[in-house]
Amino acid sequence: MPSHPLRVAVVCSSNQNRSMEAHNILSKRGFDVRSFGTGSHVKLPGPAPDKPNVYDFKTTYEQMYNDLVRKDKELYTQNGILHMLDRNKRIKSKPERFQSCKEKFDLVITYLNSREQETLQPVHVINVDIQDNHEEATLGAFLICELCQCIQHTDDMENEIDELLQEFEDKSNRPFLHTVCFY
Amino acid sequence: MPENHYFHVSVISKCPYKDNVMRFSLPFQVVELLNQAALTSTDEKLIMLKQVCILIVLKLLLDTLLVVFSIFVIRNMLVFSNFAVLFFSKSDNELLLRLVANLNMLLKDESVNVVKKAILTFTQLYKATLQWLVRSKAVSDMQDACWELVTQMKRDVLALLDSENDGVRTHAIKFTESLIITLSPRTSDSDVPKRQEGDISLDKVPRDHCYIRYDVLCEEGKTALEKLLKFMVHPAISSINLTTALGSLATIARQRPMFMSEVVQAYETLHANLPPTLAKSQVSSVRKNLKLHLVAVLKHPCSLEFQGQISTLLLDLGMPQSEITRSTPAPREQRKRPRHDQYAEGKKVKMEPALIEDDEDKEEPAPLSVPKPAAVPVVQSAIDLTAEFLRPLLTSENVANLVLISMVYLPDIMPASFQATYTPVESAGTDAQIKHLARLMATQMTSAGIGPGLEQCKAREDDAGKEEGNEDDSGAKDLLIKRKVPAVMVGQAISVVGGYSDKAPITEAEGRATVKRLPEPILPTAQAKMAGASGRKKVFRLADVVQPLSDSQMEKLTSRAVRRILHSEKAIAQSGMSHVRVKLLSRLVTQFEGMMKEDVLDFILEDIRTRSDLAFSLLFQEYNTYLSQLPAGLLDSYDHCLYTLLSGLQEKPEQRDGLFTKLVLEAPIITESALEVIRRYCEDESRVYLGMTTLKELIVKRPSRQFQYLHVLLDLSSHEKEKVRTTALAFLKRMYEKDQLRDYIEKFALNYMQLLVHPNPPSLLFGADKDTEVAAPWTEETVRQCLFLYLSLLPLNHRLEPQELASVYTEAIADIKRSVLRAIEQPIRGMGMNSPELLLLVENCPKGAETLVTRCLHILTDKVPPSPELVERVRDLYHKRVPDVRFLIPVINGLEKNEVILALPKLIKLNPIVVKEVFNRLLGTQHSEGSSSVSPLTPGDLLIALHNIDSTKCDMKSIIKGKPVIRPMKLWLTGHR
Repeated sequence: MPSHPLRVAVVCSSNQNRSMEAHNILSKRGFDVRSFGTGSHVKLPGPAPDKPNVYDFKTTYEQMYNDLVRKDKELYTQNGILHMLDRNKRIKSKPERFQSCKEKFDLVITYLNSREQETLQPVHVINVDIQDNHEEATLGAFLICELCQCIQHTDDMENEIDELLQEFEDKSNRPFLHTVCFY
Repeated sequence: MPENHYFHVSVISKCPYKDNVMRFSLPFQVVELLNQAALTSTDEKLIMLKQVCILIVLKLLLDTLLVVFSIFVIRNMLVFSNFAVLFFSKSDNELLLRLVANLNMLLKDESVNVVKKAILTFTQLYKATLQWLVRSKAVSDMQDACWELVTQMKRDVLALLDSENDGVRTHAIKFTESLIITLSPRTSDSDVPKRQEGDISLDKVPRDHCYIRYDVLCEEGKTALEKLLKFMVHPAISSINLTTALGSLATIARQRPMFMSEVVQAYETLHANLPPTLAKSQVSSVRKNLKLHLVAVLKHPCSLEFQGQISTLLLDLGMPQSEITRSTPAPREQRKRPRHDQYAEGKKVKMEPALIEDDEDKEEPAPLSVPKPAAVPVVQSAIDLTAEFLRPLLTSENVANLVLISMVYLPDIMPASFQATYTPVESAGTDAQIKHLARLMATQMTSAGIGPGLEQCKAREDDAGKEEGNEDDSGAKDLLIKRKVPAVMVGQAISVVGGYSDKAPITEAEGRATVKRLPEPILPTAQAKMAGASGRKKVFRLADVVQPLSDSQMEKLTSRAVRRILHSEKAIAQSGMSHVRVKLLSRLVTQFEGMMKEDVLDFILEDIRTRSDLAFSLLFQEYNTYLSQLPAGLLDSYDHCLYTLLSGLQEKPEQRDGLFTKLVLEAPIITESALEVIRRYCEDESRVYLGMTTLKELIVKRPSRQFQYLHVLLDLSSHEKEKVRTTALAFLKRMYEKDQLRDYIEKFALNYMQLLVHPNPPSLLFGADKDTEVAAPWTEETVRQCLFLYLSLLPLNHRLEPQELASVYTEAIADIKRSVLRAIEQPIRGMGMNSPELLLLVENCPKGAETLVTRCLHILTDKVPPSPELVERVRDLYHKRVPDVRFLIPVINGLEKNEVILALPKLIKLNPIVVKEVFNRLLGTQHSEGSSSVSPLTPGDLLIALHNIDSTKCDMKSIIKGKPVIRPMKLWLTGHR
């Protein structure tokens, strides 16, 4: 087992649904986790597919919540967005962009990074295919959590992660793209 | 952090050098701080460690603390390697040496994580050490020692590329990357990340440095690159290592464009030969990475001459042409490209591209500054040469034939890498595609170590090697020039004496630009050592490309192979090569242990009639193997083979029986277990005759072991089945005529008979272990079993001492006696009353054997009248030794008249039945055709004699008892009249 708890980053595009679901579950299970978005803006579904609600990464979940309540409380209650924002604001105040994060992790789930190398410390990046809806996000979060637990329990993560991922791939029937980057 | 700040200040202010109290307490403080640091968050920890750093730099009690500190830094798995190096690069001399020694120890730590951290730290430390040495004007012994150690450690870390741990390998790759970059000069077109701008690289090493040798380092960098490239083509590389190596190559290509050609070629090779061990998703990960890194390389201005190759690869990887175009740098940047050639001068030469229009002109300054002849023609790599050689050969016919031939080698299951990379060929048959195909084939051929290009390159390398040897001392400059990878144009004169072929595959790069999609060659085995990017021939080592099969796999494969040969029986028979198949099978089977032996034997037994040749061949081969291993060889497998075959024959009732005999007689050795089968065969009533004939043949024809075989037959002579027994006896009688066997048979017969003296029948008779007695009582049957052989031999050889029988008889219990009396009738009659041995028996009648002798006499005289010799003996016996009147009865007809009359009183006293027999005998009714026998008494004489019996000698009762006996006599008298 690594000498410290695994430092995990979960990443999706808007830091709302998938990454937050995983963040929620992983932190409940005791992981050192942070969640991020990678998009240029935070996008939430609007009244029509071509009319999304767009915020920047500085907007807090609270502000988004209030904004949507004001716009159409019924619609956003029905499609679960308000519920999601409510959960998110209890986890952290606002979405974060992965590009602007300076911290170092052991494991990044779903993002290929492009920071300049400096210390050459490796970080494993795993990409899990998860559709952006509530059900898939929940399923995916549990899958990620299980994966993290397994990785946490390996004696030598780097040596065993390959096989572990193959196992998970067979089990979950989803492709896991795995690569390694260096800080 | 006011507290920390305060601490900081307080330490400094309270730290006058000569304050002994402070000196004393400092280590304590440092340890305290370190302890605190271990417990706090990263940010605070950094600050605390900085304070520790300050404390130590104050040079108070350095020795102890340094060790504690460095171990702390690394052991705690924190990201302080940078910090540690910073610290040590600021401190000087002794400290560095100590740290290096310390780190060296940690590199060999048993914890994988410590080793990894140590590698990371060493990566920085290596640069720091180099920088430190470069800066110093004179090099002390201590620095020398330090550099020695660092160089040694560098070798150690490079060797970790072969570590068993995936993570350690990953770190080693990154170290190699950093090493290559450090040990090669930065040029104007190097794409240096901002953070690394201050890093040392070869261009900052003065050529005339007193200690650090520029050319040696440059050489080391090259070697490291070769190592990395070699590592990357290992067929069993893990996906993470591969990903890491791909990234490292991209970094190297961008930071050191002089290596771009090696990198691009390595990418090319990899793309065509993805390791077969990768799973599907790993293949997609690797391809994704490859795409990413290719784009990164493509964006670099120096990629121009490789654009063709790179964009072909990117197209294959599924990138749209438009995106490729977007990532391609503007052509005008090409102008900058030749600049990196100028690093040879050890400084950055700013060329003014506007002044020189074409590449040829631009290159000229380099050759000018080099004291080498510039007229060496451009050298093409082995792949290029082979590709050119192949191209005209790729006619439709040849290609069709190649396809047909290689069909055979296609794997059963489509490999993941093929599935991921396959795209239909759109431009099939076009000139460009043929060119590309030729090149792909050339790549494969070169890495397999064949092709004309490779030979040429080798020859060239040899030449170059010689040259290189001559000019070793001609200075660093030359070496450097040799190692450049210039942007060569066709026909351009660039010195490549070092044999590091600067593959500048211009021709095919141009050709490739137009090629769109190409099929990927899939090789059945993992690609062997790729010839590295240098195009140099690598020795093919089988051990690198093969993995040992597991035992069970081997077993499975061999037995399958044998099975195929087995079942190709008919096909081979048609071609008339059956004998080859038989030989092949028998050799294979005898050489290897395992299941196949059973398979072959089963196969033979399925239809032994037609497969007997295989059976014999196999048997002889087994025997051969045994002989060749003498004296240590074991007969086990021969035995097993023979046993299985014989039992198979024995158990199959419908088999042609001649085969069994043939097999037995032709087998070089009859083993114990085989003999057992023969015995079983003989016990089979339906085949007993054949079995025993076989056995007889064995006995006759295998004199060396004939007694062993004979023993079986002898055993069978007391078999419980009558047919078996009589057949065996019949055979034995015939055997008995042979001198060399007689003794053995006799001894056996006597031994068997001796068994009768035991109170209970020995278990020998029941086939169990010898000498253990079972409690069952003797039965008629068991008694006879012991006697069969003896008795059947008696008539043949009277010398078989009936005495023996008599002595056994006297010792045996009553039951046995009875049985014996019944059993002897036939043989005694067979012997006849003229047998001297029998007469001797009568004469010597042992005590207790009287009944036996009487019985013999009765038997002998039952049908024929007694001979005078016999009568004489009996008379003798009666008068001299055993005065038992009963002896006289059988021979009564041979006695004198007065003798009969004398014995009459005694005879009358016997049991009426006996008396009746006596009279019958006397009156001649005994023998139906007894005309020859003349009774000593006429009936009248007899009557008179009866009446004359002296009543003193015999009481009236007995005489009256005799009356009923006389009645038949009366009948006779009346009848006779």
